[in-house]
This record gives sequence, C-alpha cells and structure tokens, in this order.
Amino acid sequence: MHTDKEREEQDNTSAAQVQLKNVCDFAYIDRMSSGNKDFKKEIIKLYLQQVPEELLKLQTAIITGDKAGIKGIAHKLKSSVSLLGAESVATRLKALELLSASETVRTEDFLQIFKELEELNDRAIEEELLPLLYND
Amino acid sequence: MRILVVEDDEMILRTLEFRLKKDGYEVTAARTGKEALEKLKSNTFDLVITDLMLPFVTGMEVLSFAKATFTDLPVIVLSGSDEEGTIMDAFKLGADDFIAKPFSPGELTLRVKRLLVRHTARG
Repeated sequence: MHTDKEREEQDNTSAAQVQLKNVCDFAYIDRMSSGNKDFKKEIIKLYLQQVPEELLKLQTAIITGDKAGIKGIAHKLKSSVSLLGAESVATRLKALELLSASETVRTEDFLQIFKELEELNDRAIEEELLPLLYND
Repeated sequence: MRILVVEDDEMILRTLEFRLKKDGYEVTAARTGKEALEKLKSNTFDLVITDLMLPFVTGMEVLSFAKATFTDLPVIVLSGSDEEGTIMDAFKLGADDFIAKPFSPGELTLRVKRLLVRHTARG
C-alpha cells in the first residue's frame, strides 16, 4: 500500500518525466514511410491541420456535455496521434473516451484531462513537428 | 489488383494508400461510407479495406453491402485494438480479416497478400 506522500512523489516523478520526454516518437512513421521524407512531411502537415481542429470539436463537446461526441472524437483521434507516436496524447484521449461512459463524471474531470492533452499537443507541434517540417 | 480503401481519417487513409501503392496495388480511396457504396456499385475491386466508424453510412453497412452483392469479394475491417465486440460483429457479417490500428507495414502487406492469393485461387 502506498501512502499519500509516496503517491504524490510518484505523481511528481511521472509529471517530471513527461516534461522531459519528447511527445512524439517517429519510429513508427519512419518505418511506415520506409525513409520517404516527403510522405513523413505530408503526414505531419495533416496532423497540423487535423488534430487542432478535432481538439476544438472535442473541447466544444466537453463544454456542451455531449458525451457521444467526446467518445467519437477521442476514439478517432487516438489512431491519428498514434501515427506520430504521441502516446501520451493517445493515453489521455483513451481516458476521455472511457470517462464518457461514466454516469457520474463531471465536466471538470474531462477538462482537466483535456488541458493536459492540449499542453502536450501544443508542445509536440511547437517543439517537435514544426521544426521538423521547416528545418529539415 | 485493385483495392478500395474506406477511411474518413485523412492521416490513416494516406498511410494505407502509401503502403498499398508501395506494394504495387492500385488504390481507390473513399472517405465516407456513402462514397464507398457508390464506388462499389460502379467499379470492380479485388479487395476492400474499411474502417468501421464512418459518418452516416457505417463501415458495417459497407461490409454488409459488399458481402451481399459480391459474395467472393474479400473485406478487411480496420478497428481500434480495443474494439473486440465490434470486431466480432464484423466477423458475423462476413468480414474476412481485421487489422487493428495502428498497424505495422509488414502486417498490412501480409494480410492483404494472403487474402488476395486466396481470392485469386478461388476465382
């Protein structure tokens, strides 16, 4: 059994690890593209168009309490973000999808996960995807 | 060999298209279930790969139509890895195989090839 203090320390360690690690892992798309840089860039561009747009829809679904919408959008997005190895984003989408089935879930519960998800996605775009697209 | 790919997620669709073309197949894309039904009615395909969660006309409906109209046409369904119930439903409707997203390039190549070989041998 973990004490509250131990659990808190563990949470802080995980948060620190998330901070340090890259959001994206390009191993999968590199394997998929067989080294074709144009294809990899095309997928990154699609991510930049598609994911922020879908996150906006997800946020609207959360605010309006549209649980079916949350489930559907989160479910679809999971596969898209996994293409660029953004597993920390995918995990949070999965959590939103699961939460949407709960009767007792509150809007704040969704919003808390959404906020983490949005931060990770912003970091992925600004620090990993855009530099790869324009500096490579 | 001509393959119809039905997927409303552009990133997944382009990835499937890229890999299948690399493997030498002719690929036709449909982004909605309705578009898939229209293409199935007006073209001849050797294989269909369809997502299940599509807007308006679902992947299950595409699968049902394909199996009812072209009994020998193999259909692979795409699904999330956590959709066991849905996959079972798809098999009941006649799906020949399923590929869980995210799929590996090798797995896609093998599953497609296996079904096409079986389909060609029958025909």
